[in-house]
Amino acid sequence: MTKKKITMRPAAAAFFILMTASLLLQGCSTVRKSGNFTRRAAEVQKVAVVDPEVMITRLVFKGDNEILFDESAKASTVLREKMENDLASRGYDVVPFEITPAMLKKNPDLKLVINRLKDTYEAKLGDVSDHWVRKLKWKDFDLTLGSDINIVADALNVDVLIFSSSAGFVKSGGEIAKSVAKSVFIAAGTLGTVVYVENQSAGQVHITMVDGDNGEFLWHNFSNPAMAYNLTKEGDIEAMSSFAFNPFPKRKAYDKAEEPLEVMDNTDIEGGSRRKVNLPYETGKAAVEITKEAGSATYDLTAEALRASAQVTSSVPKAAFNLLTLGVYRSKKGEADSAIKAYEDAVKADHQNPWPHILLADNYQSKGEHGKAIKHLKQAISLNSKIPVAHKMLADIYDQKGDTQKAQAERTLYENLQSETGKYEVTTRTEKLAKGADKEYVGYVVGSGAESEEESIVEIGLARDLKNIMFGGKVIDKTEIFYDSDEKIVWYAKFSDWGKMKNSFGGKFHIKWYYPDGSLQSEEKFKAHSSNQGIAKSDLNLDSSLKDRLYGRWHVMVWRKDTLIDDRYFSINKAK
Amino acid sequence: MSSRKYVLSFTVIILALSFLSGCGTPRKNYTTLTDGPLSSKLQAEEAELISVSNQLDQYWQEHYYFMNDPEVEGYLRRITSSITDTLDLPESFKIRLHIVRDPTINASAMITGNIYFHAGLLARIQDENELAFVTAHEVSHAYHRDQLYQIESLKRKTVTFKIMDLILAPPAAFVGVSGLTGTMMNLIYSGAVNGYGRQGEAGADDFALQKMMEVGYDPRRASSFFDVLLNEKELYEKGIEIYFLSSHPSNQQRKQAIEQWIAAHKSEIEEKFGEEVSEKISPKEMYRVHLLNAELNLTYGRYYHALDGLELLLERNPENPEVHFYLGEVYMALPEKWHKIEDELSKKRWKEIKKEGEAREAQNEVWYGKAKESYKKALELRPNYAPAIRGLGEYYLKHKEYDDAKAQFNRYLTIDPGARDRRSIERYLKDIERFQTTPEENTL
Repeated sequence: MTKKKITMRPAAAAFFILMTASLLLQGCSTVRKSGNFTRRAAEVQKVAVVDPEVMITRLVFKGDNEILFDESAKASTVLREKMENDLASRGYDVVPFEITPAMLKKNPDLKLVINRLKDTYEAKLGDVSDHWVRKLKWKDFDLTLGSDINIVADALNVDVLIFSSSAGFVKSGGEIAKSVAKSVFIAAGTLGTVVYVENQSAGQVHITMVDGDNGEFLWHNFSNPAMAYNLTKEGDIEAMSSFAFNPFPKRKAYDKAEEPLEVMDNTDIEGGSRRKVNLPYETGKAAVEITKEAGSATYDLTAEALRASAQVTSSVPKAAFNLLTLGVYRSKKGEADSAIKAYEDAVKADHQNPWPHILLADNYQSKGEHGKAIKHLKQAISLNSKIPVAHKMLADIYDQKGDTQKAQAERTLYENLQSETGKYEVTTRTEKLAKGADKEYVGYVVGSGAESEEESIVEIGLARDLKNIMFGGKVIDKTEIFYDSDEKIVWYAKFSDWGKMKNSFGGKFHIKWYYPDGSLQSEEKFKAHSSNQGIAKSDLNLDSSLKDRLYGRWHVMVWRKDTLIDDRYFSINKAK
Repeated sequence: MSSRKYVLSFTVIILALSFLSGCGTPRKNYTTLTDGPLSSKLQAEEAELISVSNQLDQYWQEHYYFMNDPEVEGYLRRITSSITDTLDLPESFKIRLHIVRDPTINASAMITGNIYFHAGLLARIQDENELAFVTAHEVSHAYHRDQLYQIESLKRKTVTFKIMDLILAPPAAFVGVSGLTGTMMNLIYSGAVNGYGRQGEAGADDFALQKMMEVGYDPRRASSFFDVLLNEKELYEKGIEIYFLSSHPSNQQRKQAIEQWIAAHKSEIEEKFGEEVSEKISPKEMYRVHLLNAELNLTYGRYYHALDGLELLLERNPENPEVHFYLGEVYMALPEKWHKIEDELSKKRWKEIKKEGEAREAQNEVWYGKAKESYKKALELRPNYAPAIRGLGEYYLKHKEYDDAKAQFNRYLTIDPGARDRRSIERYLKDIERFQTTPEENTL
């Protein structure tokens, strides 16, 4: 006879409760679905996995149990990555759960909100257990995280979020010895009639699909695998996740925004033919086609609007971007009324984006409807007061209306913003970047600035190669431009003191390059090598493998250890 | 049990076992912060304890467990400083105060000098003298290094306990009750540990009373603080604070000991504070802690805790729209939550509320009615108060009064077009359209 049992110290009463549940549910996978699940699941397309809460405890023979903080953090990362892979394999668009500076700028308390949601989630897990124990109907519970979820779902532009919580224990040597001794004692004391085996580790996980619209628990699984998983082992976490995710539904269907929309390619902007593409899978591509000249073109309001809104995966809902694109297309065709309708729909789809308002104002202005144009420009400015063109348009309208005082005030704001932006104009420089007579480089400079002296990084930036350097510290709203004739783009960091840098963080970097459609092109963990004499670098090769995905507004993010040190956009255009 | 709450519970348990329980060692033998150096063995224990305490503190900081309110923190700091100023603490030792986003009635102090006031505790204390008692009590724990000595004691007991578990395991397994030793040992162990706790707590209480006298707080208020704790037991069933603060037998005894102390110092107290027990109402800023506590109680499904707290707050802030709004939220949450209410309340109080069948339905409507009334009152006090408009919309939606619900949600979006919860409001509007065409789909 084999019995499995876990014995807890009283001080870990909470953990004891958890593991008592484990005993009851061992080998279980308990799925619950809300009444709205079927209808809502059919619409789900984009998903983000919130950092799982993982707590691993080491049970020790003497004294307190230890919380394994480092192992818990590591397990959380492994579990998240595994769940992201599982979701992608089920057909979902997985958006990385990365809180960017831009998101924090928009929602300064975003991290607090996320933690509050995690707290609420943990509290609701009690209701889930209650649901199971009482055998009550799902609808009897108020299983929602509330409307705070909107803030996170909007920031990440996702339909649903996956929340999860995992706990487990491992035993110390002393505890294992005690377990063995106990088995021997029991076997001897019962003359071999009872063979007693204690698990030396255990792990379990809750996984929940939470609706980004209203925080409702759409799907939930409490999984307590029969195997005694050890959460300090990567393979065990992956196995546990697979077990828990096994019943997770596959992606049902596409969002309405994915229905074919007529959009034009670049040639259409210039009066050429137009074509149909399916959105949003092709949205990024279409956006690139439309906006690829935006970086170098003569000023074009619609191009700027699209370019500014082209951060498809990071801040602008795809449906809104589609509608904006459609509006631009109709506008270019001279269909002002239907363009206005598309822009109005874009406002509804993304009420935080100022650009549909600006384009609406442009359309109303051209129709002579000053009042409506002013209203939309004011709304745009209330969403982002730093867009120069909004103030300029407002100044022009006030001029036309004869309100010179207001016109002057807006013009002053416009000029101030213009001069601020002007700080980032491209200039040239000649600088000796490395020692040696044959290594004197000529390049271009945009802005300046880098990290603190402590890390000894004095410049960070992008270059065509190490001979042609364009750098700008943290350039915002000003896109650096490269051309398809370039062989590669180099991200680089320049150090003032090699030894100091090595002592500070060892020269280790992590870089992610994103295509213009927002998807990850590549990532690399790399180290600074002394052979580069004071420069660390990572290359993006502009070879044929990039093909159609080459043109448009790229995104690059770089971390030093866990610190984001560079987050910028750049454009790749066709060479003139 | 979830990991986040686990961390909190785990620590609360450890601290509670440390502080509420005792050890065989009389407290007078403790080496305080201002005494000579610790033995080398205890120094090593202390270093380990500091390391773990700091890790926990860091974890909480990173997870936003603390309420950040400079005015409330300043108020707590002022009370704490009045007490610590009377002690010649080493310069390296700093007291740091934190307000924990947790609705239980708890406070704790770590050896690092971190003192944690839970929102639940602060929301139950109405008088500064009572708060001074709790603060001085926690300062005493830090000053006397209680945590260190209790953990040391705990370790000794743990080893004994586990050896006993080994010895008792075979007969338990033989009779086929495999969980017996674990459960029984837990009880025996728990009893043994808690049974020794009075001396340690009494020491901290005694210290707190002396310090209150010394710095000008009326010690008679310490007794009324225990009334609050003991009353919790009358009201509620669940909650970790019930176990540790109210149902623990020593609390009644601690109150008696405090009253004895007051009686022994009667003339001295009356000379300083007069015959009437002093009253010093907590400052207005504290209402934010009350609202936070109500929100937390709602989150954790402790509806009556939230309701009781808000009604108390309403007495002092009858014209505060936020209080009315939160009351509306509680009343909206109460219907259909009978099983949760049963779990939350004491048996006695549950019997008073318990209803079946039609009476239960009627009570649900009473609560809904109060919710509507509360939202409307909030809007009367602050027209265009968006959260209350939303609440009212939810009330109408719940009652299938779709046109009124739609009007409220549209009003909400007009008032706050950039509302961060716009998406959920738009979802409501979409749902209403659906329900109006296919009413059977409304399962709200």
